Amino acid sequence: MPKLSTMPVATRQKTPEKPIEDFAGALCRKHGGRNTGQLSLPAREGRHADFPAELDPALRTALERRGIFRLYSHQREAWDAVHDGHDVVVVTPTASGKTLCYNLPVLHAARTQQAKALYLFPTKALAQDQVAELNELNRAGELGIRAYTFDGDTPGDARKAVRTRGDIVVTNPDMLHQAILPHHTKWAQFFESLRWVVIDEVHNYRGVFGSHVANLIRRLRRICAFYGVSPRFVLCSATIGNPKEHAEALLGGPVHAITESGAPTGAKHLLLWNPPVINPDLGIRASNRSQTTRIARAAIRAGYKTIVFAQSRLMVEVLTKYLKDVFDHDPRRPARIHAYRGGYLPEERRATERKLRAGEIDCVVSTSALELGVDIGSLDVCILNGYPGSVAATWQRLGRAGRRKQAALGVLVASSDPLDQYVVRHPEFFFDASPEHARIAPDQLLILLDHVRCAAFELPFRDGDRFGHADPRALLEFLAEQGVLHGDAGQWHWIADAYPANAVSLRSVADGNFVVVDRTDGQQAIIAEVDYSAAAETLYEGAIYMVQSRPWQVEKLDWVGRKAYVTRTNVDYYTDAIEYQKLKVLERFDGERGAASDAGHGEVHLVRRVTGYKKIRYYTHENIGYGPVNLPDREMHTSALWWQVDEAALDRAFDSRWAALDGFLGAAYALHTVAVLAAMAEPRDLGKAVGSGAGEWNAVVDARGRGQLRDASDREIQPEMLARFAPTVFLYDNYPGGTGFSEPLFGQRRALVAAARGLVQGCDCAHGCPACIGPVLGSDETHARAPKALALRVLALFDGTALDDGDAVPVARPDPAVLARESEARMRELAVDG
Amino acid sequence: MADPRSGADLQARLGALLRQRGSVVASPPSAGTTAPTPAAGVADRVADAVPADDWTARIEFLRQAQRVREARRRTAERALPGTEVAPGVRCIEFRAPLPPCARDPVPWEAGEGAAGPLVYLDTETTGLAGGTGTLVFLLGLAWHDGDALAVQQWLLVSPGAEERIYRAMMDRLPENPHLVSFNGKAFDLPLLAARLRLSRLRDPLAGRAHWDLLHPLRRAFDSRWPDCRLQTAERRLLGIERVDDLPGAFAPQAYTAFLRQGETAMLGEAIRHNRDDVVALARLLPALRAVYADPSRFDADAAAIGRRLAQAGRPDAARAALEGALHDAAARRALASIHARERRWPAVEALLAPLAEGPRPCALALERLAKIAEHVHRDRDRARRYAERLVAIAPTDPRHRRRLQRLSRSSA
Repeated sequence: MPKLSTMPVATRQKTPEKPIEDFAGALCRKHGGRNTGQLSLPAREGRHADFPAELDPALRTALERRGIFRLYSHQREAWDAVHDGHDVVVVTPTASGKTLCYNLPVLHAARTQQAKALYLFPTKALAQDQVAELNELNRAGELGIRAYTFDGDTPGDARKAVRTRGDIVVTNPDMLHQAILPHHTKWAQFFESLRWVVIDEVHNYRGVFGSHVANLIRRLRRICAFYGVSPRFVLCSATIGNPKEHAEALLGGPVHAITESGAPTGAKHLLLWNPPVINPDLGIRASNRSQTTRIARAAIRAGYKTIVFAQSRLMVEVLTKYLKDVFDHDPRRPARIHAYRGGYLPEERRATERKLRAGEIDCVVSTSALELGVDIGSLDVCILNGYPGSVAATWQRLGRAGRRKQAALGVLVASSDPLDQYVVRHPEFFFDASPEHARIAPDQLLILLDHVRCAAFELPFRDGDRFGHADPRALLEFLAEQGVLHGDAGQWHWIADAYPANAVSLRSVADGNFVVVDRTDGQQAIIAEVDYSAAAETLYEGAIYMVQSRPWQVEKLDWVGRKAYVTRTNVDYYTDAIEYQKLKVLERFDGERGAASDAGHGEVHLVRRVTGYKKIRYYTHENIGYGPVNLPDREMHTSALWWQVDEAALDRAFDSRWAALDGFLGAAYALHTVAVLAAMAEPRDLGKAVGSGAGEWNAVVDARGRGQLRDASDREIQPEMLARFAPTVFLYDNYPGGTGFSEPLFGQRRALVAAARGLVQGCDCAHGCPACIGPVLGSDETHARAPKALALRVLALFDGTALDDGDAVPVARPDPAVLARESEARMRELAVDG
Repeated sequence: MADPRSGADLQARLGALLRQRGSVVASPPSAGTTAPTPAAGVADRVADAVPADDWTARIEFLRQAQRVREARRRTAERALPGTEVAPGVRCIEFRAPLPPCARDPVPWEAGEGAAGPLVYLDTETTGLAGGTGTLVFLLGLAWHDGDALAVQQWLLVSPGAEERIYRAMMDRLPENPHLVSFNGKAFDLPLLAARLRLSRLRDPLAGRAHWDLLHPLRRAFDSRWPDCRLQTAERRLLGIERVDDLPGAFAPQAYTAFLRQGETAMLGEAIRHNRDDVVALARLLPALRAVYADPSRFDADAAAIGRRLAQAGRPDAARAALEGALHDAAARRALASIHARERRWPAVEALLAPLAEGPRPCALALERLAKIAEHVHRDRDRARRYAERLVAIAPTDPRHRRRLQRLSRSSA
């Protein structure tokens, strides 16, 4: 930790008595052992640069009136790069003055050349903030620039003014997709003068959503070309591992990356916090909810302005109630604790933001709604109730504390979720060289087809036109065969009676959602929509379906009509689908032979069938029942990576094939967990499977939690009866056509295996638990089958470091200090590999 | 790995992937899981002729089918009415006799004259969804020519010839046209503007004077008729019943059936439908004028019409329209309002008095009578009596209570 003398002085009236380092120290002393790691970033001086000489004088005056007399170095670098003709991505931390990187050139060009700009933000709240900021600057210098938001809330009569008079139009990708591009002729005036496109928070545009946005940009460029303009792009991102590569994938061309921030920052301290173990055998921990409230209480009492991030709207309400019970019991006084989340009225949210800026609130409890750049002033302590899913989002949330020059404290309180447990034990995960890479697959066939369809509606394709890098001809022929387009004299005209953008969701590959209909007490209310791809696993008859952690039971599933009928229930269990997967490798693109193993990457064909479900009791995770399910097969062509072990090595390492199989299932679980982290993906974006790879057999975990083999016609078989036994772990892109995760993961395969070993070895459980290799049976503990050791043995074989003597695999708890060093080295390797 | 962007291989992948994500794909129909779509036509025949998994053969079959289709379409074109005026564009001309009342371009509802020669306009399109991708495949225009209406329709035989239709239209459009349409302000004109912009042509219709008959028709009959469609107006006001008319909603299908299968019968009906619509516009215009002159004769909403005329600065026309409809309480109130604006209080009282009588008196009438009694006649007692009745019929309205309190105080 930095010395006290380097501490910047907090400048607010109610200065807390103790420096935040003392507070953090006291917290750790009081709860020794819960703090699994801490890291500190020292305070940093700012680096500055002068305004560009050619800057519009009125704009310069406006900035000076707002107290800005010079630029940070990265702001100047952005100015120079765009004026040298580069598209730019700016990657600097929260509150480093990112917005001026684009507002400066945009306002200058609007003032001097009547140039127009389009801004894309992921949420409406951010768009409104941005317009408010522009308007303040505008007023300060009487610049006469008109900046408007354009979103679903813009009233019909105001839209024309936005289209024809706006110098800067601030909107979101969905509006561009559904409202602006399909009506571009109404926006002709705007497009003819469009010189700038600004896309903020681009780290959000990854995976499926990012692949859609990349295609949306292709469509935007096509329309721009029609109006004879070629705007300059300025992108901004939170810290990710590959900002330049990601920006280039989104824009489909070279991009200049600016990664050095010139803004001064206060010191930042991050504590990783793991709730104490209450059942060591099952690996069960105390709830992170009570730990979060405890830390928040201490911080508020010590006079620190605090923000708590929760993972769901429900959790926001629960935590707010707990804190209000302590601090807001006197209704005559203004509330010290506020909740903030989507679903609240805009006025209410604005009021909370205002009070935060004015320092009138001591603590705000929020969902990710406050994660992005909504201005709420400076706070001292930021508590994350659960890992937000990516390092980028973690730093963004932590950035909410200590926005100006004061020291700030962040505490990440882990839940019992495997991702959380992994992250909280690997502090090195948070060093600024983030291992996370935002990946997109703009040429994913279905996504490409969706956007070629939308693009053809917007402007007829001509023979020879390209869409991004791709020649769309075969797609156009396909659409013509579908009766959507008509090819005539080298042009492809839209002739269908449809508005295709309405049928394409930017957040999904699937087509046609299932609606969940609540029939409790004879009503008929729609309570949710479920993606086609997730319906079979979540809406089978008997399933417990959760909305806001309130349980409903599925009574009837109408597969053809895409409806699930549910009623309210009150059970102490949740359900987990038992899925039979049949996976077959179609083509191997790449591979690597190891000492006793083989890794590969290629295209696979997958058939999935939900055959039944388990009922799992809350908290204890015991299986308390089973139900059968009868649903049609679902097929998928996608890409995957896999690991296999030579049969001879397998025979040497394991007493029985059953034991090997359990080892493979555990290894698959652990590999899936670390791959999701490394790919910056959602857990359901990646699938996992264990099988022969040739489709002869595949393994499932049955209703009793035991591995089971099924042959190609779904009959149960015994592994000992197989002539050849070569189990394989597969990780696959969980969307038809793939989403581009598996290929880079194949490149990181060794680091993944090493990280998975670290995860399993470092877990506090005795035999295996949901935080490492998946839930295990109580009977395993009594029979000392140690599925955890089996999984480790398989991972060691993948690693090529297999021990000849299988007994040498550690079953006892290893020395945590050694493990921490090892896994630190591995995660560094993972970061380098990527 | 084979280049997935090429030909049959890609088509096969796309078909499979689309089904895997839950989309309905037109072909090949896979064993009973997806219903055949309306566009199936050729695809069905392909499925019968070629095994579903032999995509190379399927593509070849489809290309052949495409050639056959082209040939059939060229033959079919000869069965279409009109003549080819430019490659891919046919023009159909027609003269419709007009009844004497419809022969002269006439001033319209608010009294304004036509800004120039009247041009009646209606389009048929490939869809109703709007957006730049909706294609205008048939453009019908008409103008007065002696005692008759000259109708000219341009049909887009091949979608690539779109620009030529607009050029033909511009050649034929008179100087300073005054447009007449049915829902053209919201539908036809924005669509034409988008398509002209796509063809990089100036929009000759932008900013022109325009009477959109839908709105005056709605004003007059929205509260009277089950709907205000053009054909409803034709039937009820002109006594014309169309025989075997193709409903407008089928026009998109008629066009795609022609493009894809060379079927001309339905397209011919769509052309006739468009012509009938344009002619109906020219006949509806004088009929609507008659409605606005004497609403009660047509059981129209006289009050709405009277208000509109008054608003447009034609109080005389408004009074004339309303005086014939005094059996209608709303018309009485509207006429009273016009008189009140001109401070003709006895006329106002005479109109409203009957409404204030009876078992269910009209609150608005009572209120106005109370005001006149208080402020014009200075007769507080009479005003209070009105106010008492007001409170009796609407006890919860605080304004009535306050009025009554004030009048009670001051007269006490």
